[in-house]
Amino acid sequence: MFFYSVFCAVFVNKNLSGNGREIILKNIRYNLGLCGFGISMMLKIVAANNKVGDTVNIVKQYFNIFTALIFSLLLFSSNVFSAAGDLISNTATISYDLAGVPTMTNASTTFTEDRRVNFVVAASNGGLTVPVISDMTDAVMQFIITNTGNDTHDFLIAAVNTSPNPFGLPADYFDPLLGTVQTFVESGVTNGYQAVEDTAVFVDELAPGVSSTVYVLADMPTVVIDDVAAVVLIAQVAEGGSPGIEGAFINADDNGRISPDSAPAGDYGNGATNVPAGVSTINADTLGMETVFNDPAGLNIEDLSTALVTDIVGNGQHSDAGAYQVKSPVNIVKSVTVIDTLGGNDPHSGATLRYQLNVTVVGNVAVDDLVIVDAIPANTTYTDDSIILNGVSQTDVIDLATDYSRAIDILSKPVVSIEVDLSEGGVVAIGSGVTNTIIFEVTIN
Amino acid sequence: MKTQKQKTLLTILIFAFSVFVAMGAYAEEGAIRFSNNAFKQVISKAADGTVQYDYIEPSLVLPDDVILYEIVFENISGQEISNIVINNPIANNSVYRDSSAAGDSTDITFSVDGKNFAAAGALTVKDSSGKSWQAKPEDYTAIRWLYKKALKPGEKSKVTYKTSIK
Repeated sequence: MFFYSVFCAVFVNKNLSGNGREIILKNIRYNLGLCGFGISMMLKIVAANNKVGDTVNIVKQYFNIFTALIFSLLLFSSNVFSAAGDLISNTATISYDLAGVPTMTNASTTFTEDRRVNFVVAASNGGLTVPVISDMTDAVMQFIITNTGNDTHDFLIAAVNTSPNPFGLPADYFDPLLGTVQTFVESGVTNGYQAVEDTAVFVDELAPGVSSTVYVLADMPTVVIDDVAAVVLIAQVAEGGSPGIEGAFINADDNGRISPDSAPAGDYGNGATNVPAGVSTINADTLGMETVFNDPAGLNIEDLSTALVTDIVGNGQHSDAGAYQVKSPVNIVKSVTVIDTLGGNDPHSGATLRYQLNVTVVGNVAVDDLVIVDAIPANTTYTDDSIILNGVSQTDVIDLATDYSRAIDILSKPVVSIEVDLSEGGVVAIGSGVTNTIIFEVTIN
Repeated sequence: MKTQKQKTLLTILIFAFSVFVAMGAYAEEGAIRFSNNAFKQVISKAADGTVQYDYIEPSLVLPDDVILYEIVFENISGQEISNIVINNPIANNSVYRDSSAAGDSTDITFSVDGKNFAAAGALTVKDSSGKSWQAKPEDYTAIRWLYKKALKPGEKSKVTYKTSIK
């Protein structure tokens, strides 16, 4: 508060003398705009009085300055963005009668709300591993950072390999390709990662209670189904207050707690920002604003700090791990309906079996050259021209440019399988989340 | 154009005012010496499991901390003082803690608008749809103590309450 007092005095006087000096004060970052409104009001008052310039008006100036300064202080205490650094003022009033004369007296007390640094990183992939395929590039894993402290902050981010698999089994088996792990912040107008839009490399101006989405991108090596690669996202607290500009890191609080060096994890902002280990200092509690690291420890052993050991409580960092898992990029659900000769569902000889295959591309990339082949079951006979793709009847012969389905071997019979080329001869990529429905029928011999 | 002397004086005055506002408790005196002090509640647990509550200077105050306000009034005149009423709006960034207001020989009422006071449980608030609900402690914006006795010369009393920091 002493420094705040000095600031007010110097700031006001320097500006009155017309120097136009820019002063940046750490502990009023977001409040500066509000304070500036109050001070600008004060300057207008003084400017008006200076036109007269006599002794009486100099006294008026001082009175008006105090009035405006009070206004500024009130604005300080009513900041809606954050509570850290706010003056908490309480005024009690006593009224009483003394010899029948009503009297009123006030008593006030004021202290400062200090800054509690608290935030949480959480993987946000539906509680599951992120499905990837072998040799995939820019596989996207998603995280959420939530500011649970009482001040607006920037957050620096870095992602690094970790172990074990946060989902248990199978064990963490591979790492993304060396040097391909990158982090970006959701910063465009479209939800989900878009390379063109989401280019920010630090979380900017995250207000208390607000969350931000962060994407980790990585390239996969050649791997096989079910292999797992665990990756941890680490966030480091930094100063807010300058939108669009990466805030200065905060690597030590006033309670002796520090952040570790970022280098072991590969530095923040895709390697651009090194944060050295903080210097542990215990500062005396004052009526001014102190900073206290209160961030939680990592939930599990794979939730690392930048020191590549499990994140500890109160180090200005928090982390959470997710995992890539190699999976088939195509999901097929097959079902059968029995239609007997009497209109019921008894699978007797001569009854029809209608098979339905729902083919869905999973993961986050489209699939090329997707061809579905299904064998005709033993003791059944394929029903000619029964293939239906997405509600449209298909022919049994290869007639490209008309349809891409066939029954093998429709000409020599018996038909041993059906084949549907969903990519239409390699032209169409099947997008993630798109379901194609294939139906065909057989009769029971 | 101000002289250097004017600027120096101005700096000193603003500095003094800022320190005055920031230094915490202050009181005015008349027939009653009246003070208002804030203390941070610190809970510690002894080895035998007993819990101890200490109240210290609010030099390090963080969200969820509990603040005890102690408002003391002392008759420093030579005459009895009657009709004593103490009003205290809840401070900014603070929430009143249920059932914490106390004061010997006082009737305690609360307000949700700073104007109308009633006993706890008798206050209502309206939601955005216009429906009225019984006010919760966090809705209170002010407390009023009506001291039911006359304060004799030299006599001192106090009222207290607690808040949580938002």
